[in-house]
Amino acid sequence: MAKKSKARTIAVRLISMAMTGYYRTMIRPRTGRPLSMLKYDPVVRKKVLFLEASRGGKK
Amino acid sequence: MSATQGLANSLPARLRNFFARYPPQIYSAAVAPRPAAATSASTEADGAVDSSSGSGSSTLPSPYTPDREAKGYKRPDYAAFSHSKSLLYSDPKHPNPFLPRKNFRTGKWSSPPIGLRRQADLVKLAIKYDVEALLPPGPKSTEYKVARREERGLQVKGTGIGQKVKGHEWERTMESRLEARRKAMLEMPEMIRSWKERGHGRGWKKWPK
Repeated sequence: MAKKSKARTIAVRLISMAMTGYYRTMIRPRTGRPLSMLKYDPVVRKKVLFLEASRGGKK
Repeated sequence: MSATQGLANSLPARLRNFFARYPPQIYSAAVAPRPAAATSASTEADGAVDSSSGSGSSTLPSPYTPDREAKGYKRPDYAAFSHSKSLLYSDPKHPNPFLPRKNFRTGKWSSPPIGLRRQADLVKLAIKYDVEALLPPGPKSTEYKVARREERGLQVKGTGIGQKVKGHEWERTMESRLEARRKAMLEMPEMIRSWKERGHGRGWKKWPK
């Protein structure tokens, strides 16, 4: 049986660089660049940098 | 004799069964050997145990016979025990059914034959029928509780000198987490500036794990 083809988009987790443990989940095209953006972190109550977490654990 | 018979008959079956199994003239707190007074008796008893084990080893020489003295076993210093701790002393000849026992052959502890819940039941019953003095000493006895309260007061575990309250994990790690957050926030403007310089993430190398 043919292997199921991978989805075109993936859900990624953007982690707050304020080290608060806060994150946002977003969807981006699989082939695109990793996401990074300035977003509001409610824990420190400021706009901070959010970077996409690389999925080291999963294959 | 008839008086004791009458007393025994007036007791509930549970207490009667207990006293039949553990006769007060051997096990009760009144006659229980106290370590301070019974150091000689205990050494005698230990000597008896040692001699019996020695005879056992002579009949059955085994390299595994535990030589506790040679292994650096130290006899407990009963004189240094607090009053409440010295109450919980079990005579090796007649092991107290309310206390755990150490098996010196295997080195394992075995639970008391009568657990804490049943001990508490027995003590409550005995207090009701005014025969608590006939029970063996144990952690549920009034004497032990009073002695412990005198020594420790209303102290909560972990609040003594040199002790720590363990607390929840979030409480234990709070300080380091806040410190990491503070540092990250101090570096944030610089991080955002370099992120903007590198084309909003195009040339970014340090992605978090």
